Amino acid sequence: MAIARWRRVARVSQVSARAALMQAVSCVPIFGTHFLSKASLVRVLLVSTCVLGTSFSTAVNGQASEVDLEQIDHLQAELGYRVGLYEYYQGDPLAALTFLEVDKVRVAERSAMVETVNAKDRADAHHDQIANARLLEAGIRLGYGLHRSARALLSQLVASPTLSEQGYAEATLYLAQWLYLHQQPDAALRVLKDIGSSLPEEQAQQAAYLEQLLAVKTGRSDVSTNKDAGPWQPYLLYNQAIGYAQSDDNDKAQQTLEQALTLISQGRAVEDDSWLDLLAWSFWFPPTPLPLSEQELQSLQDRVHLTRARLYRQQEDYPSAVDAYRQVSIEGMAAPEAMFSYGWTAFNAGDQPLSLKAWSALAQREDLTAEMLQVHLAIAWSYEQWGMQSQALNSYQQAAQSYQQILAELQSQIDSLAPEALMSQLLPDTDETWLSDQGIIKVASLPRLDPLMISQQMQARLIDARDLRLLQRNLLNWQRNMEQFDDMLEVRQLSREAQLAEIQAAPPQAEFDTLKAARDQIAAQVAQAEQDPEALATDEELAILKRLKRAEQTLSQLKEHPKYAQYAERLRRVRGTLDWQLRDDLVARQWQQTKSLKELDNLLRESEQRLTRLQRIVDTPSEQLALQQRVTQAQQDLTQQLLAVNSTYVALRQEIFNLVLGDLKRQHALVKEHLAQSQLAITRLYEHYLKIKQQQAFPQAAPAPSPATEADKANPEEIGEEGAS
Amino acid sequence: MFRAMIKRIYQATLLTLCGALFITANVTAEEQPLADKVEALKEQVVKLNRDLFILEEDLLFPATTQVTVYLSVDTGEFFKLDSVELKLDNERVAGYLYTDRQVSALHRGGIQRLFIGNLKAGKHELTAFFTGFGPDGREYRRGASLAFEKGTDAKVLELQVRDATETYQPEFKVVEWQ
Repeated sequence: MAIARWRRVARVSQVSARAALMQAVSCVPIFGTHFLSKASLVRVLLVSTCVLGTSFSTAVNGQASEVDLEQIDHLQAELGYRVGLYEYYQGDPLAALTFLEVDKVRVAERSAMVETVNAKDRADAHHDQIANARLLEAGIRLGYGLHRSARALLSQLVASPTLSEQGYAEATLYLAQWLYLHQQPDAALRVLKDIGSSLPEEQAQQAAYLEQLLAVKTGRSDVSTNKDAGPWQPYLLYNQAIGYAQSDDNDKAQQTLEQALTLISQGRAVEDDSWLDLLAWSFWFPPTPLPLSEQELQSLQDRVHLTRARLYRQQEDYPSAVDAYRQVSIEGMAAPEAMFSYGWTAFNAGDQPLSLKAWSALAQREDLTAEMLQVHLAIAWSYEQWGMQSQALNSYQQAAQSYQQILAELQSQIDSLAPEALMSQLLPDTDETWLSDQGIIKVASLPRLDPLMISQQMQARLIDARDLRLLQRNLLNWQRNMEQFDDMLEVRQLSREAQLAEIQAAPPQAEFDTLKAARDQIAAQVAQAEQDPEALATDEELAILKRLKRAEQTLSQLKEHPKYAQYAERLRRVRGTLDWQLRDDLVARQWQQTKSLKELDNLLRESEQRLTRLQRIVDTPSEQLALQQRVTQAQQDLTQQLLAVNSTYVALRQEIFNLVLGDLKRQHALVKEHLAQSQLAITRLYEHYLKIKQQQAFPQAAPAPSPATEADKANPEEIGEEGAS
Repeated sequence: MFRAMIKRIYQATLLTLCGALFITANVTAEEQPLADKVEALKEQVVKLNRDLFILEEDLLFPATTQVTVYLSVDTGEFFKLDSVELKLDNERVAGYLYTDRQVSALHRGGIQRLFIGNLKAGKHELTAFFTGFGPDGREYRRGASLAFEKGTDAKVLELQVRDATETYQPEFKVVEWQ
């Protein structure tokens, strides 16, 4: 049963694990280009269940199951990290790591208590589960930003002699990924060489992807480039194409980019089995369908088209470049760049109306970065180049007006900026926990700051800020708890003192002695009843016996009485009846007395236990004190930790503030430069008209130079696609 | 058995790490210590949390009286858990309504610590009532109970909800671990 169960869990999890892991690696740029979308930054995928119904039935099945020793060992070995896993899937890695750490302590305690060799052997048999737990812990640590300890864990695992072959291969893969992500490609390649062949298919594809990516990055030619990277092949092809382009092999680069496009379209059309698998995956995980979501597929496709267009432009194949730019999605993040370059390509191809059309459309957009804002200048400059002076002047004036307005807005934004208010705006303080809502950090969108917000450096800081806030909350909760524990211990201490006083006032030993005497008396009666049934006679019977004895004494003195024989006979009959009755009831009475005796024994036992407990209370005053000391120490630690977290948060907040301020100032300076250029152009054009007027007024004056020639001198280097950088 | 879960963990963690890479790539030498400081703080808090957690257990639930009840769920094809009610010696001690996210965590191998409390040494009875939706979407209410003896060691019990493939019905058990 358990095996069937885990198989199912594994089947569900494998696909998503592969997906996100590869997604993570694929997002890493290799040549300064990346396509990490906001949505893909931090993501946890969830299973959703879909069992519904209305009818009702009730039954109670009162069964306890029995499990064998081996299964119990197995469950105990799993307990810690499965509880941690539950917390992790709740979006709380801090709680998950806490449980894992607590489990380590508990396991060590249990191991210390294990005495028999057999039990030790049983514990050793679960080293594979322990290794799994460590692998899991390393993953959670990575996700929580504890890179160093994660690396140490992975290195330990790789060096562990008890690790299974598959466990070793997995730990090696994750270590290689860690090294790659920490910019150690050569070390990652070395680690990968030792990975073996025991990885499951999905992870083998991950390894193939990583190895080939590293080969491109390091320029190694001894690595095979034909391994199947599964659904991540389009990313690999794209990166390989960039590599070819850098080594000036444009034809091969174009060919590889075409292959990537084909794969992407196949992925959408679900023509391949592996993609079918992914489609099934999307059914089970509706919140984040496919390892490559539609958004990311689109982003990758846009990047491929942009790169193709650039390569065509390098080869001065403008029609093909224009065609490639046209393929870029107008909704995507690459759209402004594509439209701007599209305009330039059309201009280079001599199609001014088309370039103006593209730039005019771009100028209408509201999401333009400071770099892209130079499109206003480009429009005006284009008119000027084509000798349309009045339109050029008009466009320069419009551009200057726009720039002035944007500068005012930027200045106002800079003036109103404050660290605390900025953080409140960026990360509204809600009750959300770690990675809630699919793990996407909800960052407020601020005007003109979107590119900065989606930059890796800002996202990393926002993650840290969010984590520090959660640490603050966690520590404050503990602080409150410790205060309560402190109070509780005080109450316990008072209660203990009251108990001690009570014990001193009325020693419980006296009550115990009374009970014991009563018990001994009954025991003696029961023992005597074996010989003499009268020992268990009732009060009424005892009264009759007493009267009988008195009558017998009296009768012994009346032997001469004429009715002596008659009286003696009556007395003998009464005595006989009584004796018969006593013997007849003896068994029942003995049972009754024995029962009473047992009840007394129970009472005595309880009293004895109570006495022991009381004695323990009297004898062990240090336990409370030790707990009190631990609570006091914990309170001190919490205060220190909270101070450290608070100060780091303030420093981080300032850092985020500086980044935002710096970006706004940079944009301000850039727009100011655009404004200066447009104003210079306006002045230049006015001067030109002035000279024409002068020429018309004084025809003998020398002819003025053509505006286009002047513009050529002034602008091409300043206003252009490359000027965007 | 847990390979898949581990892989799943890496899916999310490496996404974050991916972000971290850019820190190393883009930040200046002056900025790096702050990221290190945050990492060190997190390590310290994890350790502190561990110590506080153990202290809390020692204070509130000493081993001599401690009883803990965990809940695990199978793949859930025949039963979708909605709520659990727990009774100890006929007294209600815990009740839980599950969100989809929690059910999902259970299906993916997580175990929930449903209840931790104190019990005197001696004989006791644990009863659990499970409510949810069974095969064909029928509403289900099932129970399971276990009589157990509490000694001086901590008692650990697990409620298991499993799919019985032979009967195509959910199965409910209480297992005594220690």
